[in-house]
Amino acid sequence: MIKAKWWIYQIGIPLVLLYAFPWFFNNAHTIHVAQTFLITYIVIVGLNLLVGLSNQLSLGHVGFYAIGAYASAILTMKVGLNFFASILISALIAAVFGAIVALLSLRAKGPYLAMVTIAFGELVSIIANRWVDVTGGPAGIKTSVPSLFGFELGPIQYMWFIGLLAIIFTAGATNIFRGRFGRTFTAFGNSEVASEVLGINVRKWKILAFSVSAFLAGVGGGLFAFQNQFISSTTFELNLSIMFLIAVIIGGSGTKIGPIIGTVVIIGLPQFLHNFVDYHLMIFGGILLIALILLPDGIVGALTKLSFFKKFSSKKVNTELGILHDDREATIDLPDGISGKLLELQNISMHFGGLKAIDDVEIEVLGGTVHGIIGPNGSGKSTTVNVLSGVYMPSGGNLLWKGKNITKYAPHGIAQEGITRTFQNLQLFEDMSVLQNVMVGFHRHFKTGFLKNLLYLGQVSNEERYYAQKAYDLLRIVGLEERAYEKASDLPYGEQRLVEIARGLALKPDLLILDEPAAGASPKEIEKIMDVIQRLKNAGLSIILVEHHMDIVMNICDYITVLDFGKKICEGTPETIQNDPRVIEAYLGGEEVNQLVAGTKFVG
Amino acid sequence: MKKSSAIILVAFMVLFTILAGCSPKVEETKTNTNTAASSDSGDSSSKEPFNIGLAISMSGGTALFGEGVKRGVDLAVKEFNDAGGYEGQNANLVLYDDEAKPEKSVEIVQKLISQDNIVALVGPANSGNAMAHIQFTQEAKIPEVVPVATGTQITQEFKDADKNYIFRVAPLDGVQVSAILKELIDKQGLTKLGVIHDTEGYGQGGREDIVKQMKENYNMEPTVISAFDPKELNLEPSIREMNNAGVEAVIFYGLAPQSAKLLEARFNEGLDAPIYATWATGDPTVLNLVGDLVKGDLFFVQSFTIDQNDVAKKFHEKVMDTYGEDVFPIATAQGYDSAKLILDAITKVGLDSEKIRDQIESFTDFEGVTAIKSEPFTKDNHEAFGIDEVFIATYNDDLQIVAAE
Repeated sequence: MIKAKWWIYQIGIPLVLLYAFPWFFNNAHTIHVAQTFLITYIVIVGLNLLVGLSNQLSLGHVGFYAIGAYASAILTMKVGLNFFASILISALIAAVFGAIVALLSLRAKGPYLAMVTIAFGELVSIIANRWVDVTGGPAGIKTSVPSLFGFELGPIQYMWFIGLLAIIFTAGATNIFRGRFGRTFTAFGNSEVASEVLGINVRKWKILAFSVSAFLAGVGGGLFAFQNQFISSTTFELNLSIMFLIAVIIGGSGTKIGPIIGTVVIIGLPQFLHNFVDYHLMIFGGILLIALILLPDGIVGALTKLSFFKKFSSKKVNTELGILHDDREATIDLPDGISGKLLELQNISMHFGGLKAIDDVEIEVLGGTVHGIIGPNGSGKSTTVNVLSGVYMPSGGNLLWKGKNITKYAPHGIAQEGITRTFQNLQLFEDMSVLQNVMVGFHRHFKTGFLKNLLYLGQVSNEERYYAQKAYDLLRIVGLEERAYEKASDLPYGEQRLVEIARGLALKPDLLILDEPAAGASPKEIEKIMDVIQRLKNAGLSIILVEHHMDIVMNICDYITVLDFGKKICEGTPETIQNDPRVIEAYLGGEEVNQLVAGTKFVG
Repeated sequence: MKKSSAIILVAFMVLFTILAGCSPKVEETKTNTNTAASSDSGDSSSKEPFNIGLAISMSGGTALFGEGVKRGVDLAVKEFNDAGGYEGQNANLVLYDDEAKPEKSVEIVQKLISQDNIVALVGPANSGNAMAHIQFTQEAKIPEVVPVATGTQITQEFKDADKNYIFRVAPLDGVQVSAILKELIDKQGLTKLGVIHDTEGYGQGGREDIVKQMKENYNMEPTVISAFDPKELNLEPSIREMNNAGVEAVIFYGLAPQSAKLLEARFNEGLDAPIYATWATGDPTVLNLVGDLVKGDLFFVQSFTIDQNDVAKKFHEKVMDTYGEDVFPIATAQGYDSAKLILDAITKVGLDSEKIRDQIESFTDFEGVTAIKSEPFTKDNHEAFGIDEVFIATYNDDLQIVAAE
């Protein structure tokens, strides 16, 4: 449910400010700048969702902006639609283009993604420039004075109109930020592979993020087309995309009020520099440069680091999620255990060029057991885990899950089937709190859709509260409830591993793959981790445990497969393995293995 | 779900209509009250200067035009003030950079009108910028004189209005084409003409003008038309096309950087025919880029050359004295005349913007430094330069622009 406080801060106060503005600053220029500010702000809100939350760098937003502007101009002038209707339609067109850009750049990240988006922006601006019959090219085209219900909007009414939209979009964006959509955006921005193994279809979500962002840029462009009743292709150039991005970064990317501050900087600052005719661009550029260098987290980021604001903001996180109660027994939801074959690896091979990382391996995992996979370095353990979780597509062989062939499934598909994993090289969502990390794990259980989240209906907040409580319970099970509100990346190594386990459990998995859960942890932490695994085993969860620490493996596992040079060299109960000469040979030699088994010595 | 969004949408519309119903009125300008006050107080001795606006590109692709115009306007304002201003009231030039962007142009023109209370405006270098902002000067009844932008539509936009506030002291595109065709077809009697143009707005518009005017006035067609991508800037193929078609003259439509490339390509390939181009090719940038290559068989339209008459010579000397160089003689001259139109009008009728406009339209004794007539405008003609005021110019051996014989 949306609270009264939210209504006051998100809607009430901005509305009053917006309404009062022209009464206090009534002159054509100020109103014009206010319009420009609001239009740019809407674009920045959208870009902030994309860049700030999901870490997708776009330098092509001018493309969506131009599409919004030209499409709405054409729909109004040539088709005769109402300007508002045409803006909404053109924003949808821009959103479609956003989806296309996302599709084209699925594999591209960082600088490559930026290049794809630059190319898109350039393409649109070249078309705007050349397709003179439609766009008017550099000479431009005229649009009409915006009107609603036959009532022509003067500059002030138009400013109000844009402002209302800005308030509505901001409210929507805030709702997105605090709900599961914002969390998912942040999650795949932080780690795509971890998101995938928790059941998030990163491809679909990227498309969604791009579409939403492009939609808002399209709305901005549409509003721009009617601001001066004139648009020309010279407006839509790369430097505008850069300004948008600078606004996001300088404001503080990924923060809620960053866009306001960023827009103030890029629109407001030049207003004070008009008088320095020959130097204004230099001064403006200089200020931006200094700000970018000195405040890498943006203005909001820098402010929240100050102790005063820190207190304020951390307190806020606590209250926003509601009070989580401690008084009852924490329980884990686990699916009913199944006995018999759970997972079968049939002749699985994984080749990288000439290297056979795993070669013709057969493993059977039985329900309700802890199945260990061990082997020296380079024996193919990690590759096996990656194949099992869908991160690698095996070069040969079949993967059967409860009798169903899942060989060709993507990681999120495998996660949907109920298999998830942790990572040897930790893949936590670093920008989130521990609790939020675990909440992402519930991804496949969330039911509410995008529109409901946009409005933050009662269902959404109930769902949020329900899963926050569940996540908290899981943290209690791994003993991290006191760390719930800390940033995940601030935790020590061993505790981060426990967070990953809790996050995996949130999926309610049939099979949990633990990839070296004790690597890098201190002896005390190892004890804790072992205890957790033991309890999970007792609860009947099926686990694949890949581990170097022999004492863990020998004490917990029901059955063990030993790999060496990508081949299975033997398997059986811990006793069988301990006495198998091939294993002893593959490892360091008899005496040492005995010490390892006895737990008096550790490997690695 | 749908219901709630529909409710929100309707609520939004209703709320908006209610609020919009009672809104303050935008104060477009305070100029009128300001001038009323100053004309009331009449002869009071301590006088605030009045403001003249200049909104032009000081950065971006047309920055050199802006710099040239700025110097011309500065000179005109200085002369006006040295001569005592308007009844002791000095003119103050307020200059903002429009960065060659339309939206920026609108912003600064509105600032000039509503915050700096300008009485008149000297306009932009880019046609798009002019098209974007002239509605605001027209609405605020501020006379605007355009010193550079050549788009035909600019002065036509409000030609049916009661009073058109937009004037121009620059050769518009159609007139430049007429001048070239007159030279080539009427005077030289040529029949085989080639056209090279860029694929941007400037070149596209130029080609249309050329084809249309040849058809309508001479019932002819260009022998060959070659378009090039200004971003690629490889003009050798275009030159070869011209040579292969055996044209007698080449009409070139492109901005300064492309003109420079054309001359380089001509140097590399060799071109049998002379080149006739617009005044953009007379941009000093071309000379800076290719130096000596501008010499010989290159002609372009001008409204001003530093040697056209004694007035022009004197003006050039004045510019040299003041700035030590004449970066863009024609832009400076047109800027000077634009400002002088406004200031002379003020001398005659005072600081009321509407009266200034009327006076600019009805001058009969204007003296400018370009080819501008003493009676430059009429109610229906807001162009200072018709076909008779522009002429064909070329570079002389000292690399100065002079009228072609």
